[in-house]
Amino acid sequence: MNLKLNALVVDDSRVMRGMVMETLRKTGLADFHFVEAEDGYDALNKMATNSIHIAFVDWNMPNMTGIDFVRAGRANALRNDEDPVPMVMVTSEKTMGKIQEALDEAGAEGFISKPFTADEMKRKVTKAVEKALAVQLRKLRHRRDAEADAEPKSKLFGRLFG
Amino acid sequence: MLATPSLESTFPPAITEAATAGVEITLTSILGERPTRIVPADAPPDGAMLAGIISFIGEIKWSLTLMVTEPVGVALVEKFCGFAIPFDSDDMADAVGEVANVIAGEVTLQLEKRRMRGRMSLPTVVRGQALQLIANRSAASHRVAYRLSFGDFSVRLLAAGTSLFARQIS
Repeated sequence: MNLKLNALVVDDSRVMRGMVMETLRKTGLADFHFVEAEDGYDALNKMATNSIHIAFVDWNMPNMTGIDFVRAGRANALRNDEDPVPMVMVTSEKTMGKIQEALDEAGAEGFISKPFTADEMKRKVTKAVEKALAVQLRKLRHRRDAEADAEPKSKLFGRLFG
Repeated sequence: MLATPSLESTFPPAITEAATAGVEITLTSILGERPTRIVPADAPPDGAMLAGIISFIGEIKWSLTLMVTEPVGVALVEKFCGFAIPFDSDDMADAVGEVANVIAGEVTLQLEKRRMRGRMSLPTVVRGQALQLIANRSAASHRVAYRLSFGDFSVRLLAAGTSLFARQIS
């Protein structure tokens, strides 16, 4: 089964968004389809209007920071009784306090400091990508099972009323 | 009569150490080449320049300005991004701001190692010809110049509470 991951890349720098996307492609971890956002507010809007499976988020951005977006995204998911989208911080921040704030308090799935190589990116985002793929796979199986359940009934209806 | 201490020497040495360590560690990581400190030139280099500025708030307010000429900017950004960007493009200004931002992240870590705080701002980028940062006469500042295999660049540290503006030499 060829799974495509819709990945939201959030950074106020267009160049950095390009670097993150190119590096993720190089990791070969998944077949990524990218959606870009310029700040936290833009990212929340893109999350609401696109089916996003994983997000890669800068920390320091105007309007709404990445960490506030991660908190808001998780809160929205919990409120709607949905699986939270795995979010990975991709940031120039690198102090232990910021790493703990992202991973332990805000609930980010991973943390990678800029600058990064494809190998570092692969090592640090594999867990989050695998989690996103597992959620995707579970949803697809659930949908396939639901379709399989519905099929005999439609055939029966066809025989009775067709 | 007592000599007045030079303003260069009044910039907090611990912050200077953290800032220069941040610059050197980050650029070595990006370039695979350690920048060598050189004596700063009195006059700014000729030609087009970009300056990436980041402010810090901690024990004091201060800023770090990374100043690059076209040859250095183009080579540095190509190493950083993995692809070439024309110097006069918006993407180049964006990329120089990002390099300054990444340096600032390392500076923050270096400050923490020295038991100091430093919350960093978003980068601001200034473009011009032969840019020279002119600090208020009472501002504590420190200038460090570096040499790389493809050219020289400088970093200016400036305590806040004073005005900072860029003068374009025509």
